[in-house]
Amino acid sequence: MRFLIDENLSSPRLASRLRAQGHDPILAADAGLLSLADPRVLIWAIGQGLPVLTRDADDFLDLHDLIMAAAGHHPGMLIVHFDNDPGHNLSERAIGVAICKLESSGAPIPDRVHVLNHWR
Amino acid sequence: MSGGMRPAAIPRSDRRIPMWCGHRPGRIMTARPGGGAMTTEPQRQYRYLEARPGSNYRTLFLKGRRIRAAVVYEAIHGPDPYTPEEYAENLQVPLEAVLEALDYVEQNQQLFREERDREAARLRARGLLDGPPPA
Repeated sequence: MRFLIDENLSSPRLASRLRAQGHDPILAADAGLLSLADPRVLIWAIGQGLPVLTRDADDFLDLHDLIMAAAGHHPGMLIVHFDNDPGHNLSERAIGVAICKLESSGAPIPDRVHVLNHWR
Repeated sequence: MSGGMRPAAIPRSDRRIPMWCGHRPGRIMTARPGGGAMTTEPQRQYRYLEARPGSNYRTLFLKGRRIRAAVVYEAIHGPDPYTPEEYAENLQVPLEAVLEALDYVEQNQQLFREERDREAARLRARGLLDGPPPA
């Protein structure tokens, strides 16, 4: 799957591991999106038709709700949640596996929020 | 990642932020919840961290970046840990910024636990966190 890795997860090491699992991630840094506000990042992703992989569920849920309330569309939001229980957290490899499972499930991604911890 | 020599890892016991990082403890007046007498509480000032207006996260971010201190902490202490030096290089920020974020989280663990709980509760309320993956 081709998707944007938001600044808060943007790491060459993660991108490399995801590529090794068959994904096609684009780092926020490589897209010139560092330091931009969340709405601007999402506008870029919408323009490219790319789901966003992000750590900031609380902020992106608001953007999702806003777009849905306006009967709009977005390419999808993939959330990595860090929990107080470390056993619930995803390794970099588990992030890639969860995206594979999500993709192969046939579940719709556009206009949806998926928490990857749910797909591990 | 550059091919240069990696700095020596900093022993965990030495990761406290020294004064040269710009910390200058001060004191501010705060009101007790529910009213009552005013009290003074120490308030750290940070060189590399700032609040991000417009975000639902109340904890601090790296200055000028959309990276919460919690994200820094979890990168160092999470399932695939980076060293502080590696992560600073990864983010292209000074090592001191990473160390300051780690210290801030360690000094405010309860605040971060609450923030993680709040995010989990919001996701759970939408059925996004528990149970079988949606079809």
